[in-house]
Amino acid sequence: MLVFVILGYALLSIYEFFPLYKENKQKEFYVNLVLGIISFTMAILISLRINIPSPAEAIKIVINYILKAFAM
Amino acid sequence: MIRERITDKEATCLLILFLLGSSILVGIGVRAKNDAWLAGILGVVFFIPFALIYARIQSIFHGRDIFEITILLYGKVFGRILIIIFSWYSFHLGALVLRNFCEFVHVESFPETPLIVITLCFITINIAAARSGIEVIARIATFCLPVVIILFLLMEILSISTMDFNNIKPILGNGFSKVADVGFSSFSFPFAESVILLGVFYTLKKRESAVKVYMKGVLAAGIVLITLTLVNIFVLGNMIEDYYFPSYASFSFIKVGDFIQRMEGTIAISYVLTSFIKSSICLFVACKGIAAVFNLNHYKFIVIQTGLIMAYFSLILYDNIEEMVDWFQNIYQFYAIPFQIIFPLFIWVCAEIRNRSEKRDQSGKGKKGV
Repeated sequence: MLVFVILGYALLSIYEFFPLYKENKQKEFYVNLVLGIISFTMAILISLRINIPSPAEAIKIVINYILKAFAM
Repeated sequence: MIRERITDKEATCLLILFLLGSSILVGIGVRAKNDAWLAGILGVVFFIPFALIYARIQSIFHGRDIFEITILLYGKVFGRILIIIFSWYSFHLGALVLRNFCEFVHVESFPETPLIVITLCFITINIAAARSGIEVIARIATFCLPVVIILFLLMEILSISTMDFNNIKPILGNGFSKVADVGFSSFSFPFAESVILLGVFYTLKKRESAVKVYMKGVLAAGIVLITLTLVNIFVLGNMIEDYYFPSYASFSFIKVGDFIQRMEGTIAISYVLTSFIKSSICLFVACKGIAAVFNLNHYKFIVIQTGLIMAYFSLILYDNIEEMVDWFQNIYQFYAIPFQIIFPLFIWVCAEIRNRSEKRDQSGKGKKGV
């Protein structure tokens, strides 16, 4: 799985990052690079079956807290 | 850069399919059981003033998207903070739609296939659509809408033999307060989600189009959703709440003679088309938002990575389908308030103030000129 992820992102970088770099679109390149690093990290973590905390649970806790506060 | 343009018809089709995406899958107002249709009607009624507000924002700043409007009204710093909030909502909604649909495919059709495979396949099409631009998505919507409507009509006609019209009784059996509560939840899901289209309707050709599009789209989608809810109630009765995908379950009962049965697979085509349009629009708007925050020349450069993050995000959102349904039914309507109600109101009030002061200035200059 990990091999597929690395291979996939290597191909993606050839398709996406190199043209931007060559065309000297610096801002686009750096924003894309940051997004690419985030997505690559997430892909690696998912492929290694490492649990990434979900924001849904945090949102649920905050909303329940607010609802309780208003109910009081 | 060439500005994209869509016609009123295309925009209406886009809005209808956007509103049907996900909501036809998980159903609206299911917590109200056999009063779900009343909750749906209340949802439409609650939403109409907000539809007018969304349309008004778009018609005041004709030709500008919500990101340009926000920066124009609130400046670069505070405007960008608001754009981040709006883009987050669009991104999150896209992930929710993606998860809903992929979970449906995983549960009903491909239980052995890992969820990530289904999600990646689906997001690939979304990325292609979002990269192609809103004109392409709008044309696909114009093509898909008749397919979706014809399939629904066909399924509903075929379900008549399995309907028990007494299932609708007792009307308001759990009291009006329960229906009003669920009505609010059907306001936020799916109707008020159309706030996302403020990032799309800058492409409308005429200033007055936004009101027409919003009104026609909401009423048409409302009629389809309420009819579907009624069919679900007639077929499933009070058990509507027990199904994760009520319309899929109700159409699975279709049996005309011995040769027309197991028709639920056909209706899945509608789920695919509507979910595809909705998640593509969410991805498109999220990318436009990110591009506006970083002042990029074009959003297309970031679509692939944003789409991939959206796919992974949809996977980590919930551990299982029960958690997803619980979050959708009990948390989502409150979570969406800042994005669907507060944010547009905030924009609308400032837009009106600015619009009036501009008009006053212009009339003052005119008088001086005389």
